Amino acid sequence: MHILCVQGIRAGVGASTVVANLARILRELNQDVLVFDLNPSNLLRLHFNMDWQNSSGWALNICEQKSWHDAGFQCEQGVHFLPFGQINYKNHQVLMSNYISENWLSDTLNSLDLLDESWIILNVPSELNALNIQALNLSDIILRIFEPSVACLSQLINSMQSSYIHNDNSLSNKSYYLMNKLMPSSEIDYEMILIFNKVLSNKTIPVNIHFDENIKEAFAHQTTVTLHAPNSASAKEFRTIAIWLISYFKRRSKNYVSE
Amino acid sequence: MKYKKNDLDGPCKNIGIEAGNYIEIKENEAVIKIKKKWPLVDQIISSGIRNFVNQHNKTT
Repeated sequence: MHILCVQGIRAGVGASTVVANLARILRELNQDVLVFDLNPSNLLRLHFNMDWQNSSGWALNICEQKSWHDAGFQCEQGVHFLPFGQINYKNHQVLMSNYISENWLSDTLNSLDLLDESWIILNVPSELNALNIQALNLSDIILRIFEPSVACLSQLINSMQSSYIHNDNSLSNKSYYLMNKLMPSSEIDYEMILIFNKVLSNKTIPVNIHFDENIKEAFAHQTTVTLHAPNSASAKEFRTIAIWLISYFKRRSKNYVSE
Repeated sequence: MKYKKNDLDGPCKNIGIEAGNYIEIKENEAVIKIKKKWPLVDQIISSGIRNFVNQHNKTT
């Protein structure tokens, strides 16, 4: 299995958008893909054409003493998806304290009947809790999303100095950074790219996602830009990232075999 | 992401940070120009290493 964690440096940088688009492209490339939403904001479902009123999801099922498996479904384009579900703060506290045991996520993923070459994409919120830490530890690669803003720079420098990820070499080594919402006409964006490249050195993915109205329009149509505007610049950028990921895992397995 | 910087080796070693395990943003003319233009960027970059060292001073 290829386990990919996607996490925003801070909320609102577009991590869910990246998850939905990568999942759809990987599926287009004949990969078997399961998307597991670990973000209580429960927004990812809207990229997969779920009704806004539909509050179902794995976390809600657990809180209502139902099987979490039943929350999963297959989207029209063939991606398997487990939405988080709409739960309130109190239920989230109960979920975390009563149901999420130390190995809950690995036990859950192992219980799924997935092919060896399957992709599991975990949508992880920027805030850390016991479940998100399990996700980061289980992943083969962590894709950290940021936008070229001073707020993201502040968050990044803070996290490099004190966060869970940067205090653990194994997590730090498998973390890569993807710039989203880049506006070519913005002077400050270009200057921030220079700063981010200085800070992140060789840990940035060699493709940036440009700001694109098509992405916002796609979301309003409850779909992804790769379906809504397949020839748009951002759709092409998402395809390039998906290919980069496939080659990352190929290189990884080749190195593993040669070792 | 983590750079070796010789002039910080001494202070960092004193507070138990291994060589190379701290952040340095290598400054060139472009970075200096950006720092002058955007005061918050200047603050974040300039205080990056200092805060890191201070935090370790407090916890060790």
